[in-house]
Amino acid sequence: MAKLNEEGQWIVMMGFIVSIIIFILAIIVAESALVGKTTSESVLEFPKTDIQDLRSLIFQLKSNDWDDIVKQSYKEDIQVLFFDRKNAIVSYYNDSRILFIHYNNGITSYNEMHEEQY
Amino acid sequence: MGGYGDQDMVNDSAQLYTIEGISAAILMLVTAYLVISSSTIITPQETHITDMQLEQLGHDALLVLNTPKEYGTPSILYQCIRDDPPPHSGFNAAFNAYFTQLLNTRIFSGNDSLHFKVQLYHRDHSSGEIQPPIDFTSDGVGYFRENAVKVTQWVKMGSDASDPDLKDKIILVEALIWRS
Amino acid sequence: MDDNRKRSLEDGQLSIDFIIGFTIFMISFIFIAMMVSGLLINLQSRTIDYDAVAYRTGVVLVEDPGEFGAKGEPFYWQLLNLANYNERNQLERLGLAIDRNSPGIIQRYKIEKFFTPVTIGCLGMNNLCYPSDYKQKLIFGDYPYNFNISLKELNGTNSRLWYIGEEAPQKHGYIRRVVTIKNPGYTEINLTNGTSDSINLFINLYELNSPALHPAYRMNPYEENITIFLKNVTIPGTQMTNLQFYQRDTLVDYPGHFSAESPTITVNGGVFTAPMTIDNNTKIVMEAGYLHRWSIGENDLIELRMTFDQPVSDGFPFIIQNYTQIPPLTWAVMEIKIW
Repeated sequence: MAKLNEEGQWIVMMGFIVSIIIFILAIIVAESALVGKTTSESVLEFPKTDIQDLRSLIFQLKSNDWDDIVKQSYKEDIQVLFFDRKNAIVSYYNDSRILFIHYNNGITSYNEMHEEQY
Repeated sequence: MGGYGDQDMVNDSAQLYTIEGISAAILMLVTAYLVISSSTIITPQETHITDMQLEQLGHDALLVLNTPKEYGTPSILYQCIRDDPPPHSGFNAAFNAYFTQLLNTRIFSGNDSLHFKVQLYHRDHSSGEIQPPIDFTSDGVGYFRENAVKVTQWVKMGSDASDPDLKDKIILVEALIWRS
Repeated sequence: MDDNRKRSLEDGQLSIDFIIGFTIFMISFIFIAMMVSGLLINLQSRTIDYDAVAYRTGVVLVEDPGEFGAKGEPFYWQLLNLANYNERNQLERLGLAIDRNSPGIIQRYKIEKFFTPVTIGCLGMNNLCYPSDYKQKLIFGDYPYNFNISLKELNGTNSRLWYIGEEAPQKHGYIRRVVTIKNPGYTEINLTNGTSDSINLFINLYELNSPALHPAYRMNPYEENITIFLKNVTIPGTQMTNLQFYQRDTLVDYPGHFSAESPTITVNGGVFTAPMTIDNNTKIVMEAGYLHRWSIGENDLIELRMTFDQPVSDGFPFIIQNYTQIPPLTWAVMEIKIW
């Protein structure tokens, strides 16, 4: 018993190393769940419906022979409601028959120059 | 050496090897079992998927109600808001019937169980500020801590609105939708 | 004793207990290695993104009008003759919407073409191939997803149901959309006892395409059939003697020249041959794709001249919008399942 019998220790050490590797893999797997999460999160984050609805509303205003585009009360309604309820900045104006639309909700920004081919 | 010396060769000085092998094996097996039995990768994402599906469906349904069926006639959403007399009672039967149908109809299974509450936001023209929301309608089921989504539509109200607060304005219709 | 130890280091002999311990270790190690590799397969995330693929498919179907040919061309992919190999290759993406600016409103003819595929021998036919065309032009992606798409009208007793795909298993990705369907209109012309024996029907595509009118309520002779009903036929035995199709003032099509193959102009379901007796049930159809066939420009003025053997009108031109009814939009529910 002068020296501890260590000749089989490397078997246990290998077993221990394999366990540690399995734990590391488990950590990687657990983090991949966080990565997979962002697929539908990014769908929710992109304001697709906001932008579609804004365009549709502005085109509806335009169809009344452009009078409603310049009407200030409508413009303020839209801008204040967008800012207050949807945290987005919206502006639109026309330059003869070209319509400019701007939208920015802090994460996504949308700019359009719409020309009527008529 | 020999005879009883042979007895020295068969001894238990190497039992440690066996025990160490078994203990290493047990260590690895237990680890692997713990790790595999606790991997629930899919569960955290499910909340967002259902939110995404619900938000798309709710927006579709509200958009369909805001689309006139024929050129020249106003949409169902416009008519329901126009005809809702002030003070708003918080229950609009016509809108509820259409909206429930659009939200809950499934093609092959029976009906879904989505509920909603709709509010209107408008801006006061003299002060320029957003007024407190008008409780337009709800389907009677109370809201209690469910996962809900909010969908919106814009309506341009004309001068024929019965509520003078909503005349000649662009208003925001917000619907809160949840599944119970 | 030292001799014994030194001997075991040099003579290559392992004690039996060592072998047994090591064997137990190696067996369990191999077993666990197989289990852990199964753990990593779950990371391939095929099961996680079924819902995302279903969502994307829903967006492409409901909000995208589809795409074929060069960029900037109109979205009439349902008018392509898919029997023609080049035209089938030109079709890049299937989408049912009427227009890029009108998401959520889908076109009746696109629906019909989308939901009537052919499985075998489809390459020579004017039908989509199931399932390859759908996987390449709608679902996209390298993994061969299975799909199941159904559309049901909510129109009371008159509701149609369209369906493609197989039955979905318990675990599938799902999305439900609500849409409105635009149906083609019809034109009614009342015959009157006037001075002229011809009806000149003017179709001014430039006016019909006016952006002042939302695309959901427009008459679109490019994409939709023009169906003309003749009404108020008072003199029995009245015959149509001539039916001519003019582009501006050039005669393009006439009896004897009308094609027997779709798209063409039909009277009561068949090609017109002079003379033809008409009554209150006569239906003249200029089929969708007919204008595309003759390369009529999108803003051209076209005219359909019908000549009869009795007085039928007072000689003034008939502007088609004044006689056309566009039916109301109908509601529908679409369900998409992916697995």
